[in-house]
Amino acid sequence: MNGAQSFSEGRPRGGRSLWRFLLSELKPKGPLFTVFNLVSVPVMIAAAVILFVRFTHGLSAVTNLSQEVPWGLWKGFNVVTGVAFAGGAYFVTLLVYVLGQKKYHSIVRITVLNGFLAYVFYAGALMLDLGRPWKMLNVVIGNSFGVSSVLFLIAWHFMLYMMAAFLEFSPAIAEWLGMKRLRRALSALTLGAVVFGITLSILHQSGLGALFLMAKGKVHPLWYSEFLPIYFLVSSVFAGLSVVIFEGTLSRRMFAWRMSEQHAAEHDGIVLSLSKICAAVMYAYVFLKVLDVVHGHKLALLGTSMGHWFLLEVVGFVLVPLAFFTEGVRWKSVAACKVGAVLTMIGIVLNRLNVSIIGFEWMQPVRYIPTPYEVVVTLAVILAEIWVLRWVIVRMPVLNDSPAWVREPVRAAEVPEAAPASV
Amino acid sequence: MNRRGFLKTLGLAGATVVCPRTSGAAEPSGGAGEPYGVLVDTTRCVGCNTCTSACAEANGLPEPEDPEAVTRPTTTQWTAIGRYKTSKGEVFAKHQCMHCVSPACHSACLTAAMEKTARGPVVWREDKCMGCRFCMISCPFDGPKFEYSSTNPRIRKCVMCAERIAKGQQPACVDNCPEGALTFGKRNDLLREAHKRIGNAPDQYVDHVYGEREAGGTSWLYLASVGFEEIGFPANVGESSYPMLTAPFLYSVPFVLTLAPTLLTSVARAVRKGEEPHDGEASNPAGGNGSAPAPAGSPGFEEEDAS
Amino acid sequence: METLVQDPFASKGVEYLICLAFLGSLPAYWRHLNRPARLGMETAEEPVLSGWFHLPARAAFHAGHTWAAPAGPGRFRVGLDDFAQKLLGSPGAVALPAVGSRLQRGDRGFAIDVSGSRFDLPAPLAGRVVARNEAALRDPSLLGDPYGAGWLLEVRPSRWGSGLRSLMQGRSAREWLGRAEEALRLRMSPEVGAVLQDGGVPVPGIARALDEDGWEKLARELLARG
Repeated sequence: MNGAQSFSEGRPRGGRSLWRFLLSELKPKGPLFTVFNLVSVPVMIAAAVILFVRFTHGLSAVTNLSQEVPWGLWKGFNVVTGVAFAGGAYFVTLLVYVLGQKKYHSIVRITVLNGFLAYVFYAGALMLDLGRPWKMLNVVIGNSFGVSSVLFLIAWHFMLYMMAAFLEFSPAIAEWLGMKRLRRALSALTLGAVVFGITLSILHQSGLGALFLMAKGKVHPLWYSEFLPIYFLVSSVFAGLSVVIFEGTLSRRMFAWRMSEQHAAEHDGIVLSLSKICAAVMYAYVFLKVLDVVHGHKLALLGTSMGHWFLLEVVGFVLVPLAFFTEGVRWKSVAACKVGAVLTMIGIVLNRLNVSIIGFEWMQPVRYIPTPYEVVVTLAVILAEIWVLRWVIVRMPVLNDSPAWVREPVRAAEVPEAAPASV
Repeated sequence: MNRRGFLKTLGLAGATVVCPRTSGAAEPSGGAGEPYGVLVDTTRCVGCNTCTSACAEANGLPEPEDPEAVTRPTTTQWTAIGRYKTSKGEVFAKHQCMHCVSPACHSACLTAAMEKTARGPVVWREDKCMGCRFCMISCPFDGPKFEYSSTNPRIRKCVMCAERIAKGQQPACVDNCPEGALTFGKRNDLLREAHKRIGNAPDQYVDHVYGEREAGGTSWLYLASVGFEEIGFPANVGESSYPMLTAPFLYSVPFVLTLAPTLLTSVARAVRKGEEPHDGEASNPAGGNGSAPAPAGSPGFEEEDAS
Repeated sequence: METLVQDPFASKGVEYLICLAFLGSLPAYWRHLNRPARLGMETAEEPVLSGWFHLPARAAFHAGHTWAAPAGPGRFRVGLDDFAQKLLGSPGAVALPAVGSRLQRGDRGFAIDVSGSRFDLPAPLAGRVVARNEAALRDPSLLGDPYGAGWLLEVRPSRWGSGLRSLMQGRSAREWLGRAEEALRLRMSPEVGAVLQDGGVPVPGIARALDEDGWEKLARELLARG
């Protein structure tokens, strides 16, 4: 009774040569005309057209960016919000590899994969928003370093983090390609990559908040704070975990046939544990928000219309999901935790957009509203990420067990103390 | 932690510690002596717009067609006269980049395309800019303007005629103002002059020189007969330099880069003592490379159901 | 424009109070979070199954003792569970719906003939039959391996309302099987109990071993209970 085909075999790649294997893997695996495909392909094609126009006619042709509001949906949502959602990767690897909490082991790969792809696509979408993306090289090759810039720090951290996340995921690729020695070598680097990744994540998650520190008069005071980096860092914890919880339910349905027995069985327990962590962190976060309002003498602002919007964000999309998580944990209800996760994710989107777009230059008579083209491109970036995610999950040991040959000792005597597989 | 990661960390930490941080004043990039500034006395401005034409001519910009309609700088008009109905009648105020002493844009730019020159002007360097517009986000005075409709967009703003100043001339606007509302000179001298004017005619001026301390001080200083928020200047700019707002965060970076890996690795090791190495992985009890439990499929499920 | 000189620590007192409120409330919140909602929830341990009946983790179960498990993209394999096949014993014949026919969840999915009595078993999910196990049709003894060679149908579930989500898996399945075992245990004779303890199963089926004459009624009762 197994659904996954070539993976329970003893021989890597089913014995095929690397090239034949790669060729066969390139073929589509699964029905072509699913609802998802039929919806996403036109969107991505439309986005490609829009981007062509954007690069041949300038940003003003397809966006509503202005001199007062220079950052819109592409930066505000794709970069600032998307990266917050990728926070699950650093936290889950912290739990498993640093704190040794083995019970989350089965979700590490999918979370790291998600995190890696999120950075590639969302931080990569940053390139679409730059006026002159080709000059990005200046930042990389050291032609011109603006080291006192927060954005410099973030740009470098994004690049380094992608490498770290890729390293963390690479054993799965080695398993897919059937390369035993490579896999062993990469696995040895895991802890280093994880530690590096967590360090980088701490800095760039908070760094995204630090980006707006100099926009002091422009971000609405209810959202602006000298502690913005800390708020972004703390909220990235439960943002990332909520995505892990939510994504787990999705992949459970879409990829049920691919999941290992262990994965499926442990899923509920993992959801509840992660929800508990979310609940605790959100509890503290609410207090931090209260502290911020008091510290900044902002109580009076709560009566304004922006104040009501702020309360909606904090009460409706932090306190309410906190309640769902709390009661979901207590009643062992995965469904309640899922609701909490979705509400939390909406709250994070709201928070990040409030800081970067909605609360930015809020006093302007003409507000920034994204054009449909911006929305289409944003959607297409997300869909493209899901396409790649799906491609990888269907082929590589992400949700299911590693192939059996992983447990065999490597032939060469390079690791004299290799512990034989303890089944 | 593996060697590569450690070296990378050390390198980055070292770089951020060693590189200069913007503190009170920006590092000058050449030249010496006190920086220059311009004193704008709005009580003398009659809104003739000669300065906008002179600016356009000096910088190769198109002649402003309808100067009265443009009250704020744009990508093609780097200075503009705002017309304000105030409590003391109509007041004209010239707006352009303020050329801050410690500019937000300069510290914001990750490719160092915004340069604070020693003589005072803040200039944009075309060859470095990648169009990220972070300078626009950070500037409290909305100085930089971006060419959204261009395929090779530039940031456009007043450059205080840096080339003319280098040749010993005055900025074009100052040179051409018929009413003497603009005065060019060393910033300190201008401040003295400004306070002198206030002292000589206290009922004509508000007792404040805008730009003396705003945003840590700007090179363009303003005198007015009414409150500055009435004539289009942001009221909540504050007195600390804007780069200092990011200083606590940036200062913490080296600490995180050194402490986090140390703490994380030690905790990881401490937690792992007594643990079996996972299958498919070399065990090195003597330490060495941080061999972590590899994410192998665990041998959990037995072949209990024949498949 | 004047800038007022403010005491930067003006609200410090209130902030400290807020911190104290947080610290004070945290133990209470933590206790609340960790206190399970229903009495007995924390003591509801996993039921200790006797081990007589296999319960693979990957399969999801219908209360009528049929199972479904993923078998490829968009396909599920379906069969009768170990409890049912051991209870009934080796079937004489198996009746399966034709390929292409539609199944409704809970309605008859397939049937087993044992010693002339026909037992209908419910389809665990709604969908369309895409394959049948022809080998099992020819050789019903394959049902002795109900999760492996004894699979019966491959079904493509209906997009909506397939009922997959309401099947029991993991802990809930173990609880359900525990209840079925309990019901069985109540009828058990010492001999049958001893045989099962050893790991063997009476060849003609447990029901037959328990009640030679009324086994059919007993079997239907135990199968319906689930």
